[in-house]
Amino acid sequence: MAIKRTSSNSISNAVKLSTGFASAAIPNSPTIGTATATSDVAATVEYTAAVLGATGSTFIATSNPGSVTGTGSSPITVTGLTASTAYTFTVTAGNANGTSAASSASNSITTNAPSTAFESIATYVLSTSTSSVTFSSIPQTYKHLQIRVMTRDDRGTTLNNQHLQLNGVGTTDYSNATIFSTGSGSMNVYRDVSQQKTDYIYEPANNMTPNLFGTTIYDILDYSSTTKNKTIKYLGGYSNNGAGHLSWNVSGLFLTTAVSSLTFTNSGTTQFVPYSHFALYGIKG
Amino acid sequence: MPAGATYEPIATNTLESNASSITFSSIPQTYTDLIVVANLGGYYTGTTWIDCGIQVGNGSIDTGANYSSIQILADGTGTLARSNATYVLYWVAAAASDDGYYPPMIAHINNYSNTTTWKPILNRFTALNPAGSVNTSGATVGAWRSTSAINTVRISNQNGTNFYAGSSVTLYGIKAA
Repeated sequence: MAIKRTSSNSISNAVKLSTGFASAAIPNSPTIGTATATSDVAATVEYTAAVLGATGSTFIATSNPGSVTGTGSSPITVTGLTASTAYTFTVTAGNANGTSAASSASNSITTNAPSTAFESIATYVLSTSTSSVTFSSIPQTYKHLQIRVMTRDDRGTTLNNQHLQLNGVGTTDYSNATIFSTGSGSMNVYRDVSQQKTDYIYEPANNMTPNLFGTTIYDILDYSSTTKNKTIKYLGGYSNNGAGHLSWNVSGLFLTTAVSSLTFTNSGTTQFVPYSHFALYGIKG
Repeated sequence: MPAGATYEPIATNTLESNASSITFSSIPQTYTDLIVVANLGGYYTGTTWIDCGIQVGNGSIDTGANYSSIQILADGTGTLARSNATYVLYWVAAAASDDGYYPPMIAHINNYSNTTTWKPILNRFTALNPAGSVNTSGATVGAWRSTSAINTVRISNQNGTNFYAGSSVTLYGIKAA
């Protein structure tokens, strides 16, 4: 007996009951569609309601593993998943009379890596001596930047001074305010508005104790803003059996241009030696 | 330049009773840097601050004179600079009874797992204590003069007294790109 279609997507109950295409007016199983990971904890699941049988009023997507569920119309959003985990999904249709059997399983998806406010962008570890290190094309998708620097240079006579320039700017638009100490006596204060870069980070030179590297942690605030001057703060120095330097600084770059590159150099023509390490991180707001 | 998750908690140690130190051991070697965040309340009746130390090691804590540590402090009225060779310095505000105030310290231990270079250790802290008269902040640059990988870290009270129960230290790992 032919099925009588009374509209584009429904069939009269009389026909359905007499043909056995539906039993007790429970919906038939939906046809599964495409599942897509949308974040570290969520995915969407598409389905198509059965043409034949009773009308489903509630559609539920269920994950495997975990049996995490989401409800709604296609695409259903399922939240509460675990990051970096593979899932498939099935969908059921329900109405007042009951719930259909589950659809076949969807394609497998893997949720995104865990969301974090602190992400690495790039790292350079020098294998040969280099006079400057530049991070370029820095993504503009973070709120702040942090750079962790561990350096030593090839100056042969004494310790050296490390610098940072933003966007390659080499004009006197920087200001520096630093307190620093050698670990004995009082601390000293250094202020300078004539520099063309940040200043007063001491780092070990090659005539000093082998394997001694200085460390500096820079924070650049609101780096992607196009309406604010840029604030740079850092803590750094080195310590060698009680001798050494510590610098604590806040600097400014009085330009509102978004920061897309960072360049590290030393005073004079000296170079960073191998194993010097520069790690750039983005911090989400 | 791809981005990925990099800042992961490794362990938190909260004191259930007074103790003189907190130690992390068997630290995974799968990160580039370590971050130590401490909130410690210190007991001491003789002064309003106590010396604390960050010590590290490979297999066991190195308590020898193998550290370099330079510190600057300011309390609003004066400044002070110090150095130490047996641990990386920082201060904790002290109180004769537990006032529930555990001021913060954050330390960065860079390239802790490499076996080529000495290990730099930097920290920033405050010794503010509303129960006492100390309102000090400071910073320290230090180093462990060893090329061994670090797999244990200890925060210890160097005045021979205890940290109050409720004090806590959390260790984080930072992955490179």
